[in-house]
Amino acid sequence: MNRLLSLALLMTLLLAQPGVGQAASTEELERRLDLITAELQKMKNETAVTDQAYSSDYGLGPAASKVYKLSKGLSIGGYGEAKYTNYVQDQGSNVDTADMVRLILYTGYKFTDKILLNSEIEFEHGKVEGGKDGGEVAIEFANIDFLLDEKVNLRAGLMLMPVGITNELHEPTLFHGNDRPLVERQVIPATWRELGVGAFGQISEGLEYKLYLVNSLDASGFDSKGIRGGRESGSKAKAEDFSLVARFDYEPTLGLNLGGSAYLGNAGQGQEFNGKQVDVFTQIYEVHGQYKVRGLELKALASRVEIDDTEQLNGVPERVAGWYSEVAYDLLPHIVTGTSQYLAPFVRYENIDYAGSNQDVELLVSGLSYKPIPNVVVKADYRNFNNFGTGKADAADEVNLGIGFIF
Amino acid sequence: MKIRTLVILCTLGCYITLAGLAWGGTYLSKTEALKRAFPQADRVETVSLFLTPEEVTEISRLAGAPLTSPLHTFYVGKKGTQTLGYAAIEAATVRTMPETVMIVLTPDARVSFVEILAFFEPEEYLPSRRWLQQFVGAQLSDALRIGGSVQAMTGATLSAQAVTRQVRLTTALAQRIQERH
Repeated sequence: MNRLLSLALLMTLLLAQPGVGQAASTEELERRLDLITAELQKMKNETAVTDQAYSSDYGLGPAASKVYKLSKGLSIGGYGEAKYTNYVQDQGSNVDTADMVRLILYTGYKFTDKILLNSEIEFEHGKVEGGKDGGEVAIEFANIDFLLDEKVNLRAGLMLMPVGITNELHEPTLFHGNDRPLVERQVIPATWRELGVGAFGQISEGLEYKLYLVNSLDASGFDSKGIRGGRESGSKAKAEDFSLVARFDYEPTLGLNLGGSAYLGNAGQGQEFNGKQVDVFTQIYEVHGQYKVRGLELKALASRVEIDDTEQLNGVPERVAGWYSEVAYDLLPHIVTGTSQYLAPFVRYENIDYAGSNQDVELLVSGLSYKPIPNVVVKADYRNFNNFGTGKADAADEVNLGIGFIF
Repeated sequence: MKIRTLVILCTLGCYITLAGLAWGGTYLSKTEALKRAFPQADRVETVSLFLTPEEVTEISRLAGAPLTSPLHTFYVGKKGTQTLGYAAIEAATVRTMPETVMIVLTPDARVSFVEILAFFEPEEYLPSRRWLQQFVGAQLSDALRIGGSVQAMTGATLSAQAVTRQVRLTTALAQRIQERH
């Protein structure tokens, strides 16, 4: 605001001051206009890149005026999603629902050029009320990054596990359908974060890695659907056991992303299961690929979880394997030339297979994603479940309508 | 126990090693950037566009993005009487924080290259050099958009959109410069 006032003053003085007792010539007016234009350009566009010549800005000493030239380092963002679910077949005892699924506030702080904080605080399902079955408030991640070198940077804190596509990139504008892929919920338990330290970087153009050491999952939370209940999420986490997570991402050409990850570690956390202390060595392997070209989007992921010592764990499967593949296509540029909006029908097939428990499921999701601007998405989808081979009735089909946003 | 001790030592080590690093977010100053834009130039002139409301509407339509100001400055690289190219230095908001981008154009208003001069969002959203290279040779067209001839940037949608919008606006503005010079 001070800058605007100063500028207004400068403009008035330059244009109104006619020199000594005579009107300014056209050349003089042009010169002044050039000066003002240059000043404006500096303020509007070049604040961050103007050379630091130890000049004094607006009457402040050189050191004090530095704060006008540099960003304060705080970055704020967020995302959210809400949906309405209508059960259309085999509804059974299900009740149609409307849910403010989540609202997340992101804050980042750049302490220095090389040390920065990234964090997200999440509010799920509208509200949290003591003792009642409701939502949750959670820290989705909070880690400090130390940027050392393009090839090796360090990270510490509550970190998103670098497994799969959705766990690290889970904003609603980045996946189709109101619900994240089921495989990345039941097999890879997104959103999954643990405390730890790690390294990350770019080995060469298009080849990136992450290598983390984190507190292990807690096998006492494992159930017939797998490891999801074993996530510790940085909440007084048991840290008797540690796990290693490694991930590679390769982008051979722009638009094509290939990657894979592995998670290895004991989940026993020094506890006894059915009277016996066991390691519960847990392994997760995953490969994924995405390809985007001219409005066409292809996405596929396969993952396998192996859990040891399941004979000591009641009803926990020894293996969970899942995969999905998805195709989407942005139709709108073919209908409205030059549009910056987005309208993509999509279809996704998912399959999860359990060895040692009875939760097999096949899921077919199809629907539409519409983005009037890149930050806002309106979603409609139909989900059809097939609980093949489980002896159970299929879960009810769903129609989901929702909105999502990111800023 | 050993692993935990190792972890603690590593973390402490990092803090000590990294203490006292500099402030910033700026990669290139304006002077350095313009040198990079026109290495052959013997001088860099400025040309300002004072647009009429009609021109603002027309350029917004051409660019498919709103032009927020009627006043724009281009830098023109000159060698003798020869025009080597144009450069625009423009700041824009990515998510909530700004970036400053330099778009260098050839005399016939094609993109020569795009350079990020300053970036205040977290570094993980920073467009890679390879991603920026896809603008080389581009000119304003319906295909100059993400999902058209421009590839998206995984995990950095808003940065990609912001830079693409700046390139579209600058190439649309450059058509005005050409008409006038």
